[in-house]
Amino acid sequence: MDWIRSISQKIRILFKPTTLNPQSNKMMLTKLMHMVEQTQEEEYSCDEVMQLLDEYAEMVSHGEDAEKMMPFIKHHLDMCPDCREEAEALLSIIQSKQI
Amino acid sequence: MQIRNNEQWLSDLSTPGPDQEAALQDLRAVIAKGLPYGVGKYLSPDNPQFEPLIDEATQETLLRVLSRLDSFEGRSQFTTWVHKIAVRIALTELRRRKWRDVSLDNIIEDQNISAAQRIVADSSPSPETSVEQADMLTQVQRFIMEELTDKQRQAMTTISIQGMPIAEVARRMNTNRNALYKLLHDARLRLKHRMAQEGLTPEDVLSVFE
Repeated sequence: MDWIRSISQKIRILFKPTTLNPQSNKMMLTKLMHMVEQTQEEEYSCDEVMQLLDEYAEMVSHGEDAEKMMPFIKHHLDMCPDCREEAEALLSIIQSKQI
Repeated sequence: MQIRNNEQWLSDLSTPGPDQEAALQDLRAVIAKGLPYGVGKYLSPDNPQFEPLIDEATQETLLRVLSRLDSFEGRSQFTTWVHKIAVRIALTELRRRKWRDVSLDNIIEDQNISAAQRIVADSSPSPETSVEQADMLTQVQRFIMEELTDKQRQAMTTISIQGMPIAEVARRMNTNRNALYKLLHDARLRLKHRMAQEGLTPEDVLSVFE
């Protein structure tokens, strides 16, 4: 667990007020605030999204309003880059009509 | 290749024998034909690693499908469900390869370097604006230090700020993607609640930097 302690120390240094410059950290702060803004009390987990992703992708490919019908999935895909990549890849396969 | 509906796929794959062998052969062809469309954006088909990756992911997908047949709920075409599994396997492996030489330590070091470079590159703000920004940043940093655990700060830095895949960070932190997403969600929620308590919105914070 030494590596965790080492990382924790570095993160403490990283977020120490004296080491930060407001201008140079604007980008980080912007990302952080956008994430906070979009955060909902209840969000689907990656496992819950994985369970429904095939159904969601088929709805999208059929031109149905999947975002409206499955808003929790859409929100998770906006927040989770891993799941978003997988959703896009699955959609590419469906749209290639290779299934 | 035999055309099968969902029930036929399940029926043929569920019992060892000639029907299962034929179905597996057909399913292998379905995956191998479709998966390149999903992976092509992340790895060029001209790359010598492309075909081996498709082969390995296809094989792994077949094994996983056989072991999880009872979890298919019929919400989609069976082949879409199979491709969902194949995509997860292939992209997880691609992420592992892409990030295998990058340690979490390096990412945090890089962030320091990049911050230092921006300090040099930025034009100097007016003293008044600078103080206002510094105050706001200090306030947000205090929320981060008081509300988040070390683990949550580490996850937010590497994933949300630096763009490392959740699955890769999870692997290195000896946890799983699902748990790490929940950890991040909890971190975002804590910050959101704290800011609300303090009467601050994200727009308020960002407006100071415009």
